[in-house]
Amino acid sequence: MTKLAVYTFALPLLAGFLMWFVGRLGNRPAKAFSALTSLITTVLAGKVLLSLLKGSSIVVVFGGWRPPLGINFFLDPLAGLWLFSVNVLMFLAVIGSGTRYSWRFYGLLMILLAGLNGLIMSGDLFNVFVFFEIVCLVSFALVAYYRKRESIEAGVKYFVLGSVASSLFLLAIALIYGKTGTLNLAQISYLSNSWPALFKLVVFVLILVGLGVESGVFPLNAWLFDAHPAAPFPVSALLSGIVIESALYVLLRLVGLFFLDKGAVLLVGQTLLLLGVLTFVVAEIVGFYQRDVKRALAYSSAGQIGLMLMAFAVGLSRPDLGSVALVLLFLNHLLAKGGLFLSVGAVSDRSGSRDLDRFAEECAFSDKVVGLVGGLSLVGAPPFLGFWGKVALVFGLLAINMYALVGIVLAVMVLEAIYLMRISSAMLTAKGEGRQDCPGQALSLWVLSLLMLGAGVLAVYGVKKGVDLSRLRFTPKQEYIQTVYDVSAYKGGVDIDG
Amino acid sequence: MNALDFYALSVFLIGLGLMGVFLNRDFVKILISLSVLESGVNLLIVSIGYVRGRIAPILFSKELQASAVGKVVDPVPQALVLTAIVIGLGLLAVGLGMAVWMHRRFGTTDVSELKDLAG
Repeated sequence: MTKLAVYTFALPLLAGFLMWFVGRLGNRPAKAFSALTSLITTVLAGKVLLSLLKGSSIVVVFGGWRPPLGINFFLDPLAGLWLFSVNVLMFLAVIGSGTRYSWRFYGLLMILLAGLNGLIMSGDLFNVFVFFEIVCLVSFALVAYYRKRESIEAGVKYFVLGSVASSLFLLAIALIYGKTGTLNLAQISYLSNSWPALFKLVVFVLILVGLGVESGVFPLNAWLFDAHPAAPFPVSALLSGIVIESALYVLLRLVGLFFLDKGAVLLVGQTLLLLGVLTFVVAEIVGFYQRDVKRALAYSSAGQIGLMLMAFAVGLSRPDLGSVALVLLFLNHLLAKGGLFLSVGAVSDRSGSRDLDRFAEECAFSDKVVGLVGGLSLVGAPPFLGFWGKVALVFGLLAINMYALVGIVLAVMVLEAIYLMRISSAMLTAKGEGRQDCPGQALSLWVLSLLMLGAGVLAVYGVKKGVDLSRLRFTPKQEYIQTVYDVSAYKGGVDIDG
Repeated sequence: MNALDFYALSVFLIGLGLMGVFLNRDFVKILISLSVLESGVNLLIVSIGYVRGRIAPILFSKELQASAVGKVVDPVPQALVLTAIVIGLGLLAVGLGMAVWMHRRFGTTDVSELKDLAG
């Protein structure tokens, strides 16, 4: 059963390379093939998530070498949820990508999916690096896909920042290996208690910079605002909806495992809180002045990353509120921003302009629905997930006595609401009748709208029925180490070679 | 050379690479600097596993396999570096591809000319 988790990584990788042959048949078969692959991985990830929600965490062991000697995947309920959401959005983005992309594009998307799935599950530091590099390389290529002036400019900027960052991340890995002699996350986590303060600081900064660039943390996120508008719209949706989130997920996972002993937890928490606030405030204020709709949405993405960082920082002292806020904000952003980029991007491609006044001319009905629902959901209007996420975050901030921060955050949220609503209302009031490339586009937008409408209601209903949302958290250090080391875990886990 | 020299050399290369990335304005020179930076990190990884007087961890004879533990250097960093070099090659290939397209679109590889998207 749990072996399925491995296939969410292996299948898209295989599909990515098979695309070379499938592509010979034409672009449509290539799209169908990648849609099929991501549908299969979505189903697999859904099954994995269900079994994770029922039972304990899963450790998948490779090659018959038990960790810490061998390489393993680690899945807790949060990882399962992340995995499932990533696959869902990839499927919807493939479906909603229209008909104008070539088979190479879909091949790259499949490799991106493989990298992301591996990144989320990996329990080995060097494997994290390899998957991270897969994701980075594919994103560079996808951002520069059109090879127009602006895509090349965005691609070059992204490339330089991203490559320096990944070198620094590799440097951090080298230092950690030199200190501990292991790459297994659980064992490093166990040994990290005895790291001297200076070493810890250096490694923390290197990891923060290395992964912070990709996850869009201020001040390392300059690439993001060029890359999102310049990329093909399905790529913008994926970059914004899952790539930067998954990088943030890995960053937070590593921070949680390596740097959260008693002496450092306060400092780490405050650093992340400060970075989160800065990311949020700066991005939303600049975003407010944007005329380019895709660029405005990109700023809002960075802002949401800031909120998620704040939620994590809050979760260090109030795990109940912080982790719930993080999960809800993540899901909300994935659905809403994925949907908005898929609709706004396609609409502005059809209209031939990304300007706020003119982009919406070619709106189809499903675009308008997503424009409204996604906008409201992102802003945090009551029935949607975004509302509950922001409420949990604000209560968490109040609980740790950050009253001034609450004021700032609420004020900036209003700013965000104004510019997002400008985009939504432009779409709603558009007169023209847009023609979508294929029925798949409307389908993916409808599915996303239904998910957004349903998820908020479902979450509230679930909590009333006693579903424990707080299980969706980063497994704390001690428990993580226990699970990976615990021999009994292998009964629940799978040994791939027997 | 002993391990300390390797450390010093790798720190030097990392510093050189970082400086090169931030001070150069030509994209191809930035790519070269990135390669220097990567080489520095790779050298650091290998030198972490280096033990003076020991041999490469290639166990070609039965005799060596039986007594390898005390004779060979740590094989893990070498495996890592192989992977890292391949990844670096991939990065460089994508980067050079971008340099080609940049030259076609902008007529230059000077990154300070990339200012269409200022804002």
